[in-house]
Formats: sequence, C-alpha cells, structure tokens
Amino acid sequence: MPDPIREIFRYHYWATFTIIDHLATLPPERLNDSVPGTAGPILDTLKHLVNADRMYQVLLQDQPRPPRDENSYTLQELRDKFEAQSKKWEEILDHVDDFDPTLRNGEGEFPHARDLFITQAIHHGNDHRTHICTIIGAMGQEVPEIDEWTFWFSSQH
Amino acid sequence: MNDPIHDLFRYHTWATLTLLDFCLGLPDEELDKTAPGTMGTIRETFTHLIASDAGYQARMRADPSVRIPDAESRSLSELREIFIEKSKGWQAVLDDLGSFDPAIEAHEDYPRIAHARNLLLTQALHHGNDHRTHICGVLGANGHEIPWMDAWAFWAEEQG
Repeated sequence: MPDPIREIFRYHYWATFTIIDHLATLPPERLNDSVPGTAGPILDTLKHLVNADRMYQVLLQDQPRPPRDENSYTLQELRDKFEAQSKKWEEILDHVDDFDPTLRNGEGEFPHARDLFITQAIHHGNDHRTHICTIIGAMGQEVPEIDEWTFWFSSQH
Repeated sequence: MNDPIHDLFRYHTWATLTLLDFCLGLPDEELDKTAPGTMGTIRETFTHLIASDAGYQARMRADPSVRIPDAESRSLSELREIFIEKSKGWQAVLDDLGSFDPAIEAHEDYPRIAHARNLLLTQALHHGNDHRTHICGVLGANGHEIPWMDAWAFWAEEQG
C-alpha cells in the first residue's frame, strides 16, 4: 500500500485544484468577496495559500525564505504555480528521509523541523480551502465537494 | 525523527483540544452561535467532528464499539474526555499501521472500498481541519478572538 503521506499530499493538490477550477466558473467579481471570520477575499486567500505552500517547500529543503511576493495573479497563474509546486512536493516526498531542516526565526534555531513544515503545509492548505468554501457558501453559491471521499472515487484508487 | 504521519495526528489532537478548551471558556450561549457558510453551531460542529473522528477509527479497526453512542446527547466536556481516549487509539493504530488493511462496506452513496487505510487517515485529518476552521469562522464572525492553533503554535508549545 502507498505511504499515507503521499495520499495526504495528493489529496492536498487535488482539493486545491478542485477549488481553483470551481472558482473559474464564477463571475470574476465574486473573487473579491469575503465574509467575517475568514482570511480575506477569495483571490487573496488563494494567493496566500499557494505562496505559503511554496515557502514550506523552501524551508523543508533548508533554503532561505523567499522574499514577500507583492505581485497580483490571475486564477490561471495561481493554478500554474500550484501545479509546479505539486510536482516539487512529489520530488520532495521521493526523498523525504533525506531532509532534516532547521527552523530559523526571531527566537532562535530549532533543528529537526521537517515534520513541522509537512504538518503546517497540510494544515494551511486545508484551513484556507475551508475559508474559501465558507465564503462561497455564504454567498449562496454551491460549494464544491472536496473531501477525501470525493478524491478517492475521482482518482481511481 | 518520527514518521510525519504521527506528527499530523498529534497536531490534529492538539488543535482540536486547544480550540475546544478555548470554546469551553466562553459563555455557554456562545456555543449555540453559527455563521453563514459554516456547518452549524459551535456545539453541533464539535459533536460532529468528534463523533466522525471516532467513526473513522472504528472503520480502521473494523470495530463498531469504537464509535461514540449517542454523541448528540453528550456535553462537550464529556466529548472532550472521550476524544482524548480516542486520540490514544489513533496513535496505537499509527504505531502498528502495517497491520491495518480495512475495507469499508458498500453504502447507498458508494460501493465497497477495499484497502481503505489511507482514505481513512486522510479523511480524518481533512475532516478535523475543515470543521475546526468552521468553528474559528463562527468565532470570528461573532466578534471573538480566534486562538492561535496552526502547526507553528503546536511546535512552539512542544518546544516549551
């Protein structure tokens, strides 16, 4: 049976692509919608999700943090970025035992942070996908099915 | 280093208890608040999260007794104690993961699923995260502080 971490990451890619593809069917002005209790407008949340996901990859490889990204992106550009990142995750997972990064922050240096970055990447994607779904639901729109059951049946396990 | 799956489940337990303890510190009537786009009240969402989590573990173990009977009639404090026990059960599953190869019997919504181990692990983690975020959404929409409970906070607490 495949490694469960591989399944968890493949779910992470699939759920993010499913959300992006659903958002592409909405009127573009809806991407600026938000509701209280979430992380901000839909497109801003998605950009944050994708950029943070990249940062976790960089930190897991023990490389310096990338500079803050002030650019604006279209949905398609974010999809393309995330597509490249999902391929990068697969490469990382192929050699995950070779990584032993150190977390460096204002409070010091903390070794053996690999599982922190993996846990945060999975949590962070889930958290912000739910924020986006909450906004979609609050707008009275249909919310896409993005649970693991749907992934399982759609991906011919 | 541990296998990352252990940390993902330890985080799942920690985040759920952190959020639950925060909510149990609120006036009781706040637990019946909700917000548009979420799944219901804080109380209902926690009950669903914890009962479903036990259900996934019951399927993993092929042991219906792991489910929580009458979860809807239990208080959140009661469910908190049950969740702590069930979380120990998850760690025991992870310690011996290779010996689990569950099948899920056919349901009106889906056919029989063989080799469902990774499905159940992934769904348990996704489901907990999803509903914790719903509860945080309800808190924020009702003007409450949202507790810091991402993996950075988990790590910081573990590092002491």
